[in-house]
Amino acid sequence: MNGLPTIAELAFALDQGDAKAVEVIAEIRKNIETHESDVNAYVNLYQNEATAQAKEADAGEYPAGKTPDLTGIPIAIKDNICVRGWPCTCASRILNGFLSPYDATVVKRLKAAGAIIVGKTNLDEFAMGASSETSACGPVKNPLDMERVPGGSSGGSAAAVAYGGAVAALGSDTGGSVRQPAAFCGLVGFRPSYGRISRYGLVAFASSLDQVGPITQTVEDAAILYSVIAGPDPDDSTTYPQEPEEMDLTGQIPRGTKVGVMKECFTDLQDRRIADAVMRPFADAGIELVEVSLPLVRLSVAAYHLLAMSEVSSNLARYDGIRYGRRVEKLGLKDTYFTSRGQGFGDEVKRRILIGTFGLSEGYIDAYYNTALRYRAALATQYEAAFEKADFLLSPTAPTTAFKLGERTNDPLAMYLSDVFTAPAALAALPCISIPAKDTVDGLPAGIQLTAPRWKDSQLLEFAHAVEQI
Amino acid sequence: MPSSKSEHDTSYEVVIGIEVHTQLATRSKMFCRCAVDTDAEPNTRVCPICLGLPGVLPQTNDAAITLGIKAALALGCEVNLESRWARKHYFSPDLPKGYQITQYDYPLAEHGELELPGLGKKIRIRRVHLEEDAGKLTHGSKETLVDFNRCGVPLAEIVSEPDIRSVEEADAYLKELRLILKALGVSDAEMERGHFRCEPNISVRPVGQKELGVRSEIKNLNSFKAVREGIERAMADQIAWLEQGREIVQTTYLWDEKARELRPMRVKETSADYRYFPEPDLPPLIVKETEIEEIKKGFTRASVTVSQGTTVTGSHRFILPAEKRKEWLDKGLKKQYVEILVTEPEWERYFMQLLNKEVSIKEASTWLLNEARGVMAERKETLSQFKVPVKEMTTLIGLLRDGKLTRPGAKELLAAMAGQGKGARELMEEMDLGAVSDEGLLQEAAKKVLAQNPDVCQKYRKGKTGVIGFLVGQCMSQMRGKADPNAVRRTLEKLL
Repeated sequence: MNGLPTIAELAFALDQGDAKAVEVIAEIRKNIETHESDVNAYVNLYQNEATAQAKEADAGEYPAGKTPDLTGIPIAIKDNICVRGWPCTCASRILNGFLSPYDATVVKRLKAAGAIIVGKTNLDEFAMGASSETSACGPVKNPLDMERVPGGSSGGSAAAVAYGGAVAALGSDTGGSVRQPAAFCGLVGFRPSYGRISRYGLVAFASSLDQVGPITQTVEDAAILYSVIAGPDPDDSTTYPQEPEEMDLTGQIPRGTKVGVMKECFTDLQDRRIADAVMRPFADAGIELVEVSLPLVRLSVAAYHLLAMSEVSSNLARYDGIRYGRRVEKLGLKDTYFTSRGQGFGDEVKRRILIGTFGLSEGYIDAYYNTALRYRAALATQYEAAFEKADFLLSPTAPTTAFKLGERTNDPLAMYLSDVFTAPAALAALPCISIPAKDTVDGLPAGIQLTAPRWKDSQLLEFAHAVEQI
Repeated sequence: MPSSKSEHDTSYEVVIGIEVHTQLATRSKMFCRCAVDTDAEPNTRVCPICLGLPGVLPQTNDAAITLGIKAALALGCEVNLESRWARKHYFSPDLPKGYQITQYDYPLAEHGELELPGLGKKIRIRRVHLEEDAGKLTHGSKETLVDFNRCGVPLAEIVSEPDIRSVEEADAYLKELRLILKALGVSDAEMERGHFRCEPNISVRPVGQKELGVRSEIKNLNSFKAVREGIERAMADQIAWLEQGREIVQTTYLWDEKARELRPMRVKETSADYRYFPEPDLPPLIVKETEIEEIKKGFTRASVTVSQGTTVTGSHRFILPAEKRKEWLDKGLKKQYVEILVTEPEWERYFMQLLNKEVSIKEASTWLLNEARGVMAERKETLSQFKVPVKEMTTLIGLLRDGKLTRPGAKELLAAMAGQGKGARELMEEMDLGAVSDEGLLQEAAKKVLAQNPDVCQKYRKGKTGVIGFLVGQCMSQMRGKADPNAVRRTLEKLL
């Protein structure tokens, strides 16, 4: 749809000598020239480096059969993931001038697999948002409808893949930031179990929720990227010590697979057409559906934001203008802090720091942060009960399709509610994937969201791949 | 508050609790792999992690955890099999992340105690937890510079209960704690280098009052002397305020070393809200029972080493000072000598080497811990400047034992040997200090003395044999102290 091959197709073609990396890079370059100035998907592009790397790849050998191999495959990286020697702006003024002296673990692994990094993609400032409008580099537009947002916060990654600015991309998902933009742009967005992918080098937003995830054209591509970047990392103590299980993308749905329909999500959904689009493939394929109820899901946005904002207030304390990034020199330390941070952060980031600081302060931490923690544990228990009845859980990815630019920028609550279906799995640390429904709603894509028990990432990808084939 | 009481009516009691931050003797930092080297060129022992760059994550240093457990066990604490990391937030240019990783509601260890040597009193230890240090600020006239080398260096915080009731107890507590940490190799505990930072909190109350008074906390105490002076100062201030009927406000003070004054740093109303919350980047700290057992095995009983006459220096074996102390006292060594051995490792090493050369405990304590130490005190020298090798000290003691040297001769010889590096035997001959054992010379001197003191000889012959001591003394001075008094006595007895 973006005119580019998938990772799987391109890798095969390169192996066979039917394609050249330089040709793909040239194609991407053309797409960027055509769309980028309107879409604003990238913060920084490295096309010359990409071309040089593509030439090198073409001159060398494409190690056939060696999986996973990404030699010569152009990938975009969300600009809150560090690449050595390059800026990492997080779309914030406060990181003006900062160059990362190191590669994030996921970047190291992509580079080791031979991938070509085309550029760093735009995002909501520090990944805080659901529309990619809070970026200090300007909003990102949805290539499918330029009046609409691409979703967020990984809107740049999704938009870049959608218009053919990259074959695939990495995003990050804290409360839905990979899945929701994938859904808005008609792509696949995969959030693995918390702990599957190293967060080392992913600039922290809410550490207990952040996960890197691929945004791709197909589930197969998500599986390829996942298998390259997932697995234990000594640099991230919260990674799961075991390597991910092998996958077999047969396209077959195992007999007896049961899908739990998340009752509250569908009941609360206002647009029935989204419900229909999400349900249809399961009905078509005759997959066994059971209704599961997780009443706590309804409180997920409140709990998610309390936890995330509390962590934000802590994680963003380091941006003080002292060691790197933007410093506004004033007389005295306090004024330097106030002015550097005051001018460096945008409104949404400030809002979250303030609320989070309040939520952790003496006398309030029990009412807010600790209550949210208890909620989180209770929600995980409800998920466990649901997985007694079903192998995978089904919901729409978002309550709406892509909304219009500016529609929610002055209504933070409405913006926060975009996360209502994506936040629960993040809170429960579960693997979760969004795949595009075949039916569109008013010409806009809707996302089918599937959730699996923790660490069943491979099974989830196998199943989602099969559903994608229906 | 009734103010009718005159200041002589009330006597006050001081209540002290102490927090100690001790730098753990690891090679690398608490949460990254940078070397611990706070003397290095500023900002050369840093990496993205300890600088708090965007995207980095901490990794715990197992060596620091082991040292923390060691300290906790030595203090009789229960080690928690699961403890947790927390973030403590405040803004400071020397704190790159804007928070310090520490332990809060689930510390590494709790409920220990430390016995004050000599005082017999036990001070309860509330908790021992691990954390990272901050960087160092240097304030110039126009600008402030920051060195991040110290940033992330591992610390153990040891918190006592408010069981301390006097300056002396505070002093004894800190000295014994420091001794334990050093003996275990947990910390170099050099106070002036900030390896052992003491923060006492002090309150006073009228004797008999149950409720605690309002606390003053003191920071920046860099010597035992400063600790004593600071506490005394805080006590005096508080008593004066109570006498004046003034309300005491909970205050943190900085000790001004130059002015020897307490400078208020902050009062409670403005105290920071650190917004502690669980560190999401680190899983709970799990300690296995087997690890604790393994560390406990390293605690060697003192008897093993004392009876073998060797010190144990291996990193896995260590003796607690209290045990060592008991062992030496049991062996009959005087208390003041025991303290030297327990608190001054270089003296202990020398002492043990003498014992290895079959010098007795009595001889070694007399000639090393008493005489040699006296000589050095006079010369204002340390043991390393003494320049008397163990071998020569052993020779001197042997000469004395064999009657080749008298006690006064030995003392003179030792004083001469100090700082010279000459052999005992050589110098003895050079100085002509050897004991006279030639029978002819002894007889000659004795005859002379007897002839000079006929009345004393008379007394002796009449049965007042005690007077022989006088005659011995006369002979000795005749021979300028170089004779063996026992041989002199025998000769005199023969002649009389």
